[in-house]
Amino acid sequence: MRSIEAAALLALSLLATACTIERTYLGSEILANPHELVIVGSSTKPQVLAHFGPPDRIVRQREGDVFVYRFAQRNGFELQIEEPFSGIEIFTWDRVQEKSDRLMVFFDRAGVVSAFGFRRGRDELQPL
Amino acid sequence: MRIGSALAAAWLVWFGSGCVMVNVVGGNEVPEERVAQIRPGETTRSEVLDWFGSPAAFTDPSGLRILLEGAEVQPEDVLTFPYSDVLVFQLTRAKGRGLLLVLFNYVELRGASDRLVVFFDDQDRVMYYGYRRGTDALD
Repeated sequence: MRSIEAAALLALSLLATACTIERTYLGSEILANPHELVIVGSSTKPQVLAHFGPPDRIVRQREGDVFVYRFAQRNGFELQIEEPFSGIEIFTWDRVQEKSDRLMVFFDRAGVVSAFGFRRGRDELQPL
Repeated sequence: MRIGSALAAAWLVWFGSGCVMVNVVGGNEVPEERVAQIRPGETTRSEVLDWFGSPAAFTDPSGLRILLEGAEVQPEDVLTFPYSDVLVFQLTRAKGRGLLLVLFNYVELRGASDRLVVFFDDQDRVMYYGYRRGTDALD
């Protein structure tokens, strides 16, 4: 009986080809809480650069620049079952979550912060 | 029979498992000692170009773009319209590691950049700059 169980287990292992967990991180963490450091109408570009470093993206606008900071995380989980000889996929289950901590700082033409938006999107990632 | 099953399982684990390590570097080093020499109001554009060389047009070197092809987490271009009053110097590194077993695989990839962004005034002197050594977080 035990040998049958072992054989069944082996057959199952051959069938269930892969369960894959993927983690991708891109960029650098946003160093501080902008709500504590950035003051609309007062903070300047050099201050923002000193607090948060160089932005990941600079958007030039007629009214002034926009600095974009982004730290992205991608969590993936895949369960794939294949027929071992033909390679035909019997079952595939994919779950991918991609979230970013993102900060956008808007400046006026004088280089003073006119607005900013911040969201810690990575907090919304759910455990797989 | 029990020995046969054990041998088969061992064979499966031995030949079906593996380890993957990926290391991608794109761009040129941003010399940190030179960054400390930048003086707003004094340092000129030609000095900056002399110290750091040709600026990077994009944040994303081709190697990293290929590596992450298909994933939506590709970095964006630093500067949408490369005006000459801002220069970007950047080195990007990506490190990946993976454990590939028969039934379970784990893959982790991290990408970060050392980046220097320098803003110039209409006299071609540095107004302000931002620098971050983001690749330290990969170690």
